[in-house]
Amino acid sequence: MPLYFITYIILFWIPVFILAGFLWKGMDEATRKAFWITVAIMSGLTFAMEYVYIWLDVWTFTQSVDPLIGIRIWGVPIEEFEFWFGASPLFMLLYLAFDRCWPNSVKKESTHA
Amino acid sequence: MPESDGEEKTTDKKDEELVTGNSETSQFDFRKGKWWPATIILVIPFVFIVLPLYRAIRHEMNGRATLATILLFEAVMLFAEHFSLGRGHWVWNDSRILGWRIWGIPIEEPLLYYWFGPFLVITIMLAVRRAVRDRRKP
Repeated sequence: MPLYFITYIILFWIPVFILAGFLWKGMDEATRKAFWITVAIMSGLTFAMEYVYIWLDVWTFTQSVDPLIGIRIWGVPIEEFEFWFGASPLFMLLYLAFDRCWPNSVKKESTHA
Repeated sequence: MPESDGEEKTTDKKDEELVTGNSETSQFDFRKGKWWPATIILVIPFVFIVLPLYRAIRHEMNGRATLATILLFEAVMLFAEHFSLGRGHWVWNDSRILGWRIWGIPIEEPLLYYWFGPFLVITIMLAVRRAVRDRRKP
């Protein structure tokens, strides 16, 4: 069973879709735009950094316990990008959710529409 | 947990000679190259990116929301990474980390990466939002 892939679908991607479902309608246009621009910036950045870390031998992967699903981009398992590309939207949506729970008293402009 | 029935067991095709199962720690060992703390050095450029951005948006950053995001991520990732390292989803090179580990996890993960990642992303998002709002002002 490809547990690496499954684990981070459960921990990152499912919460992202659930949080987005709750938060998206209440977000103003500037926040939505900032969300997508940040996703684009972080995707590019983490994509590049993954290859830097691999090139410098900072980490590697094994399949002796759990198999990878087998798709690789220039030698790097797709699970790595699933991890990185899921983390950034999760951080933003968690922040926006907590921001809605505990509004910042000194903030001048609201996050919400 | 790694299937290490003896002292060592080789793993992935690509890393056949590099990654070995460690029966004592229930983790995989990977050591390649001369030691240098890549995990720390590679973060330094991002500190120089995040500092000016943070200065620009610090008044609109919700500190409580940021802290809650970081603490939640720290808590989840401690368990998640312990699990992933035990199953070899990824294996740290002992020659590229500081060397100390908490629960099998390199110390720079909970002390640096788990908070710096969310902080960087939140800071960039708020800076971009500030720029978008400023552009719209007449």
